Amino acid sequence: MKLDPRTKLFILAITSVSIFLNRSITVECIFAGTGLLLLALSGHLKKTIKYTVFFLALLLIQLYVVPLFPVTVGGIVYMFAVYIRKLLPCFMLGSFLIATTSVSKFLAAITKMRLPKGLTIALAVTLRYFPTMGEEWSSIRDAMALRGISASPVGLLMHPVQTMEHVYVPMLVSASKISDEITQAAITRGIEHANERTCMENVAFSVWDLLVILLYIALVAGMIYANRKGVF
Amino acid sequence: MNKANVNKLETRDFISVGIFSLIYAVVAFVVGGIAQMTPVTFPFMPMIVALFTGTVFMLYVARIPKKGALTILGVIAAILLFVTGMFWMMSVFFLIFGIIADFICASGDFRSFRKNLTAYCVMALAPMGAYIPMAVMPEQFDAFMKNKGDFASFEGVIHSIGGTWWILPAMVIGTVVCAIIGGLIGRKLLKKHFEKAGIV
Amino acid sequence: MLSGASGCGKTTITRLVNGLIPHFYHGKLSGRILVNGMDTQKTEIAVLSNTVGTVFQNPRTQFFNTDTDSEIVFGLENRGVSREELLRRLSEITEELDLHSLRSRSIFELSGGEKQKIAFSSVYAAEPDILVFDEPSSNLDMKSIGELSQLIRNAKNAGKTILIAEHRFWYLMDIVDRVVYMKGGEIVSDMPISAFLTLPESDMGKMGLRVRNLSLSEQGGMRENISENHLSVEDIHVRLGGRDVLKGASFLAGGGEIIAIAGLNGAGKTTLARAICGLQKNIKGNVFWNGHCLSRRMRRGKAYMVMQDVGHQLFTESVLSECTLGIKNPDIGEIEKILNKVDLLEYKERHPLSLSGGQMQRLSVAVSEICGKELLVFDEPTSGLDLKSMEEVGEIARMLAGQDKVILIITHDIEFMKKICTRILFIRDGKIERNLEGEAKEEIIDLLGGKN
Repeated sequence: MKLDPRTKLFILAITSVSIFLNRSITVECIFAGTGLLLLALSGHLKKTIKYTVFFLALLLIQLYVVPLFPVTVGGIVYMFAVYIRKLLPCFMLGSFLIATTSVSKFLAAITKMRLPKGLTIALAVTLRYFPTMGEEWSSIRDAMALRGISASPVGLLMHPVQTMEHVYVPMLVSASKISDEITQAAITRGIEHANERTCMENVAFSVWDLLVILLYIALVAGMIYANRKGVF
Repeated sequence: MNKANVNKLETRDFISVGIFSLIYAVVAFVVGGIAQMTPVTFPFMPMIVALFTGTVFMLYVARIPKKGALTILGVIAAILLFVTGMFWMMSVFFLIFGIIADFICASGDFRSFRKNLTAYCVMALAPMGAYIPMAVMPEQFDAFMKNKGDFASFEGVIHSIGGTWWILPAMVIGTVVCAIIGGLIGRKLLKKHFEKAGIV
Repeated sequence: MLSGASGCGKTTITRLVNGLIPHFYHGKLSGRILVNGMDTQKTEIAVLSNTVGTVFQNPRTQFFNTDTDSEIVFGLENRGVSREELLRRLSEITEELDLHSLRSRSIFELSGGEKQKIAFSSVYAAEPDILVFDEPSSNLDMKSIGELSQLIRNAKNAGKTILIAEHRFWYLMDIVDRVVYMKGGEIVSDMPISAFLTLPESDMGKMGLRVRNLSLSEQGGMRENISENHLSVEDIHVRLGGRDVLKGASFLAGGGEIIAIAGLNGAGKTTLARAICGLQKNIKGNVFWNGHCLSRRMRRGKAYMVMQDVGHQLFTESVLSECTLGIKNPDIGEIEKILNKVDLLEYKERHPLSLSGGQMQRLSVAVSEICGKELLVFDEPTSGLDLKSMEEVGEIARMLAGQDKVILIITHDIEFMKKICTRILFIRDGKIERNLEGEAKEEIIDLLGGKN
């Protein structure tokens, strides 16, 4: 089952809007269950298990632990546990989207959405720079370690401004240089052609997309019904 | 280096926008993520983030002083937050505040530090979107407790932790203060480093 | 081939041809540049890009996509070529350049050489008539340079016009037809390759050019005085991402030696260096300094690495404050003496990141000295350097060795190894396989799989 990235974005949007309007725990479990099912079907079993355990733990805290506390403490724990739990179905779909979509597929989908070209370029570079930023960070951290400057949270708490400076200076200067070099490589390969770019990656809707979208519409309908009837 | 086409975003600007938006978002994400991990620091997240992103913001405006750049920063931050499953109102806030910040900076031609700082204060408020659910959750808590047969209300909870109507303005003011500090640090580093290193 | 010392204007010429000047770098430009009849100043760079393709120096920063397939067709996508045509061209170029093992991969997991091959393929896929290379071999190991030269040869046979700005000549000697020698922004001579090949070795040195034939490069780096400082690395094992990167690397090193660590990409050079410097977590094995076993923390205090991206290790606002960073009660007189030794005293108020690459490298060395480091590791200190700068790096290494420090240099640069290093440790498959000294250093050319 391969979904179009646009479908994944759509179900993520539906889930994140619905989940905070929803009042029924049953409906929330169905939203979470659907997310888990998609993750499991895409073969990411470890993530599925992790999210299942986390979701159930937070659910049990709400149902069985919160009532044990006095109302003040219970209220705070409730807020925290429920807030995070309500984000979980979005996290599930988010990691489903990220784990199952290559950057080029995602960009192909974005291109099809006919956003302005400049925005697409910026977004492409954002996604491309992500791993580079990781490389840069570990190299800067090494350099700091050799000078006896700590990049750890402890160091950050002790000397926040200084630590910020020591990380930002090499990182931002290097980013500027890399930005210039990527630009040169991109414009000498014709990124400024005025015509519309084509895209080798093909994204198209399939029957699966239709099914998943219908499923989510049904979920929203179910949620509205449950809210009206006050289903637990 | 670049003298031509002063006001319109070019390819090199879009590429800078892409890279620096990512850095802005990652800093906000990492710092914000750490801040949100404990119930005690949870409400202070936007303030802590505002302290850290100031430098990136100031460099961003100095490097790409053109209309539209901050709007795209907002859009990219919104997309990144959205696809990682963060609460969607945060994305909406980033979109709207990005556009507002863009207008404010543009009104000072991107060179007025006061305008840029004001714009940053607006931008720094975007993570507040994370707290919108808090507005609906007390009602749900009450409903939940009623269901359990307990008629204590959330009103009581809020009273007992000493918070009432002033929580929201307090957070806004706190964030703005932190944004001003973050922005000033940013200006200092800009003068001390980035101008001398020749990247703006 | 465009030759000449750093700053002679080679790169500027390549930028004039591909249109980066005036379309990316703005300045004062007079005269006229015609590329296939197009005036580059009046032609948009996008149009020029149909005719001129450019491969740049740094493999890390010249790709736009995250996967190889998209990168190869990037230029064609920009032109709006239809999807069927893109796929056809992709499979065609896969055959032509033998890219089977590189298809559909994440670019971030590729080695520098593989990245450069993708960069070439991407440019070549767009079928430009003119190919421009700006120091393409700078960051490559010997095997990758061999492959690069094969690619350039293919392009030549396909009838392309090729312009290469380079410091390393040896891999191009049987490909190029003409050599342009530049100095101080002017073209001094323009000779056929036959004339270039007959230039006496002494003239090459005077012109500031590197060797044409690696096996003829002069032998230097005899070991002089070995002090009592000694480093003993014993049986280092490192496992990273499910792969054994180091499988029992051991060697001895004495103060005063300049030791090259050479090997192909992925052999474990960088991991070994990081292990010795105390940057690598979870290693098995020990590092001894004068007989004392060093903990990871102690190694970080004893060792310093001069990184390839040397800008990553400079943090402050001036050369002087860089030297005092983290030092309690710094002795300014002593610091100025050290700065003077590395020719940086006059720059003491400058921002470190505004210095040239060589100056940043020397500042890093000065910092290591102020911090009292006794073990120095250089990561590719000569990539992209001309003869003079390479010899300057050699001078610095000799100076440090003269102070009884242990110097380890990770490098691909054979000329540098032969001239400067006293010993070469050849690392293969996570182990130190050979220890080459004196005449035996010659063997490194074969070991690294280069042909010459």
